[in-house]
This record gives sequence, C-alpha cells and structure tokens, in this order.
Amino acid sequence: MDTIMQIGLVIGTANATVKHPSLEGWKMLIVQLLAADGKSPDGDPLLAVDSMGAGLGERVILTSDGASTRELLKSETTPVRWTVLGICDE
Amino acid sequence: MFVAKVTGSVVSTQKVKTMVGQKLLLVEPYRLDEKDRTKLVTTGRTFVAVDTIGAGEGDFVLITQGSSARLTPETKSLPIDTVIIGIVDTVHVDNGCVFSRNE
Amino acid sequence: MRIAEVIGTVTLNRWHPSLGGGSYRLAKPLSLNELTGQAKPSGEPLVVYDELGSGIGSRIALSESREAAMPFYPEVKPIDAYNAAILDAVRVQSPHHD
Repeated sequence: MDTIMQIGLVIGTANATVKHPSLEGWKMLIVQLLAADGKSPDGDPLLAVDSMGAGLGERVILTSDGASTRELLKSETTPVRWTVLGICDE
Repeated sequence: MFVAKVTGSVVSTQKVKTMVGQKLLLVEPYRLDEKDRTKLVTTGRTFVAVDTIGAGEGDFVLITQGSSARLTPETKSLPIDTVIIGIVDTVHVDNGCVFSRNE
Repeated sequence: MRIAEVIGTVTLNRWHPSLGGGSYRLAKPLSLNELTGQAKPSGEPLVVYDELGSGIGSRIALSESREAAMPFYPEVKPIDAYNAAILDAVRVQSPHHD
C-alpha cells in the first residue's frame, strides 16, 4: 500500500465514546487538506490521530504509513489511516 | 461498499489462468434518488465483478471494491478489484423502505 | 478516516461466509461545507460495516479501503468501509472564516 504524506489545516476536533479500542485515549483532529492555492479545500475533511498536541488553525503533516500508525496506537488491528507526523513552523 | 444490480454475466474463454472457474457478472451501481429519497436509481455506470455467493441476473448485490476485494479465500490470489459479497434484502433510508427484494 | 452521516440501513439476504455479526449502514461522507452546515449533505451514500450500533443521524468515523478490514486481522473479510467510531461531538471552525 502506498504511503502518503500530506499537509493540512487543523479545523476542528471530534470526540467519541463508542469507538474501536485502538482509538482509546487518543485525540482526534479534523484536518482539511488544501489545494495548490493553499486556500480551497481539497477533498473531504479527514479525521487524524494526534500525538503532537496540534491546535486549531495550525498546519500539520499527516502520514498514512500503516506501520507507524500501528506502532503509535500499539494496535495491529487499527482502522485508523491518518496520524499527525509534525506541526509546520509556519 | 455499495449497492448494484446484476444486469448480466460475462463469458470469457480466453483468460488468464488464475481466472479460470471464476464467475463474472456485469453490475450497475445504484444510488439513492437525490430528489425524493424514496427509491434507488441507476448511476448509469457498469462494470465487471467476481461473484463468490451465487448471485443472479436481476439481484441487487453488495459490492466491495479495491484491494479489499481480495480479502476472501476465493479471491485472495486473483487479479481483481471488485467482488460481490452479499445479496441485498432491503434498503431503508430515513426509516422508509427504498428497496425490498420481495417486491 | 472521513466523517460520514448515517442515513439508512441495508439488510442482506445472503452474504459471504466470512461476514456476519455486523450490520450495514448507508452513510454519506461529509464535505467541509456540509460539516459546517453551509450545505446540505449531497452526493452518493456508501454502505458501511458497523459493529458499534450507529443509528440514523449518527456521525461516524468512516474508515475506508484496506484500513477498513484491519480490525479483523489476521482474519480476512472483504470490507472496504468500516465504522471506527460514533462521534459524540464534532467541533469545526471553517478556515474561510479566519
């Protein structure tokens, strides 16, 4: 499976009580990928697991690398695709 | 996954070895009617799907696409990306019935 | 994962032997404008395998493609859309309103 890294804008947060066990204890961010103009939304907003403490309005690097997601969440069976890899300085 | 109607079958004598013995059906994806949300209408698209459960022409079926199509013992080594995984009995939207197999 | 809104239910008459246990929901993935209420949900719904018991109107975390089948690993199930969470709260600030 291809791994993709993307830059997106943190536009919100989501909470869930009933969820896959691998999501237990993690913060879920809502991230909007942006088109080449840096403004218009590119695709639907994504849910990403955040271990970096990114905040609203910050630009983040997302990765879809399965191995690092499984390692981060300590789960071999997680349905999560996107995790925050870093926060952009500007 | 999505709902599609089986519109025919495909017969192919000359095909790659791994596909020998596989039943191929023509399917047409259906979607919810945008305006009155009370029926399913065709999308006008069509493609070929591998059948693992004995679907027949006229059946509405549930279809999985992409690499997940190979996640069955029957399809794991096949060069395919579309598989029929169920025969649809009913579809309800907003608590109203938009499709029933027995009607 | 995307965010999707559950709008209906699909029942099956017959299914692949590896399936069973879960139920099937019709759900529409939400765009930014749909999420912020600036547009009504449109577009084609898809069918999602649900083990969590979502209902009509639930907003769910929609896992797609290969990840959708990961919860069953090492078993294999031909699933390409999976309900990973029923969202209690979704807070969004549209980037256009900064």
